[in-house]
Amino acid sequence: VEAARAGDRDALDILLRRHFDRLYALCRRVTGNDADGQDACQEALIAIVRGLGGFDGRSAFATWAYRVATNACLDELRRRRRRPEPVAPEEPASLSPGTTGPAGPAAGPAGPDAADSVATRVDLDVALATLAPEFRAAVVLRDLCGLSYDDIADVVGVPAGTVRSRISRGRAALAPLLAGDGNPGTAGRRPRDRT
Amino acid sequence: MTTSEHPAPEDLSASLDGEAPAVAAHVEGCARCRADLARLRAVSAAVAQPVAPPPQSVVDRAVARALEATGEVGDGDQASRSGGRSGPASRSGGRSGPASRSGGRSGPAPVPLRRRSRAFVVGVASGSVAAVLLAVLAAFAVVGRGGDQTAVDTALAPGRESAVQDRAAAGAAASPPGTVTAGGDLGEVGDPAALAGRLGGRIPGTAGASTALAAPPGGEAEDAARPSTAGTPAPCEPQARLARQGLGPLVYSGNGTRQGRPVVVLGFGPGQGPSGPVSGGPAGSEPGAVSLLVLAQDGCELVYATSVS
Repeated sequence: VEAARAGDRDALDILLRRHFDRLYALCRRVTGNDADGQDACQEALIAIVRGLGGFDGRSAFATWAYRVATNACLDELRRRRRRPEPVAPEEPASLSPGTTGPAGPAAGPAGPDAADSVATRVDLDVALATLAPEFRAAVVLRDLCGLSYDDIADVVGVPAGTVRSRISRGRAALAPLLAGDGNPGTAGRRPRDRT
Repeated sequence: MTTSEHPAPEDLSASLDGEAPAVAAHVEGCARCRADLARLRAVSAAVAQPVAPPPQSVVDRAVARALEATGEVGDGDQASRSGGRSGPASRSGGRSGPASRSGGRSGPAPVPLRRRSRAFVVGVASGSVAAVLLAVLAAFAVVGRGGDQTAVDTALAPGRESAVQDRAAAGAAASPPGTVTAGGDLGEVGDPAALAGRLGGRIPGTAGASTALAAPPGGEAEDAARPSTAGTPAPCEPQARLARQGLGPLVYSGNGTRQGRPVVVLGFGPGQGPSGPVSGGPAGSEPGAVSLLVLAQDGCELVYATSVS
């Protein structure tokens, strides 16, 4: 990172390539398709190059890069003006659906097999698209990128409590969709931050 | 919370991430919460499914375009463009401070892949119209001068008297007719300043060029003046014109390598802006200078641009 900041082009090349896959994964999940993900990732790399001089090292480079990439994703989504239909209830009372299935009460703790199963029922991208971009980003940063709540708070610029809420409500909104219990665009409202 | 109270959904979700350890004792003895937690875990696992990486060519292009931005950083407006891009990703508030994303949009930026493709189509279409108009004007000029040799005609090789008509049919974004110096293999062209130094005087119109046609330098590349192929763009010429606005006619064409990657080197004369000659080279180029663009032979991505006067 230091060499790249000092203007070493080869170091910058290596740095960008080293982080490309994880940044692309974030962009791909948040934007919902390959093309938008590539565009957002491209913008993120450019922003990283331009902003590297201002990277102060207070956070890990990866966290800072995630922040830049998340910004790029939200910009991309805003540009495309994608506003999916709302689906999630404002206040999910309970997650128990009253039905059984691979991820339901009878299944016990869900593992990778359960994840594969629910993912094939409803396309993950479709389910994620029902979330507001801020909620989607929080869930993806946690579950795909593995960031801590504090790091996500740093990335998205909100308190950790808000991150906690967004992740919880985002997951709650996704659960019935991924378990095949919900139908995107049929009922309810997308979760929003409490004011 | 006691073991008889169900945890709040936020706490249950946070327990999945190890952010609410106090919930664990309750969940252990509560079937409903275990089920809820299992559903959340399934969601988490689904979102965590690995994302297939894009093709290597996409990675290469994205990195190359990002590296192009290192040149723009030196243009003087780095702070205004980069500072805004590094702030937190909050979408509310902070639009004028470091967290602002809109602030990063003021300057030109390498265009993302699909937008660049759309721009290319528009550019080629515009070039086609321009080529037709140019051909019509040239035809009028020839007729008006009774068929005398004109500046336009000097570009035509023997046996190409009908080139003006050929030009009318040309559809690509090609140079206006003129003389192009074929530079041949320039070898390693990694250093923009060195390249400009090497080509100064070898391109018509630059300092040290003794005639309108550059003399063979006897160096590593055998320069030779050749007439431009009317209506037919040089390799990567359309992409160069898309990458830099206001380029004039192609005056130099060569090739070489940069860090082992084959590249083409194109030189463009001054373009004509609304208020006179302009350079299509990097910011700060002297108006009227020849713009040198180095593009990857494979894909015609702009590697860098410089100028020579």
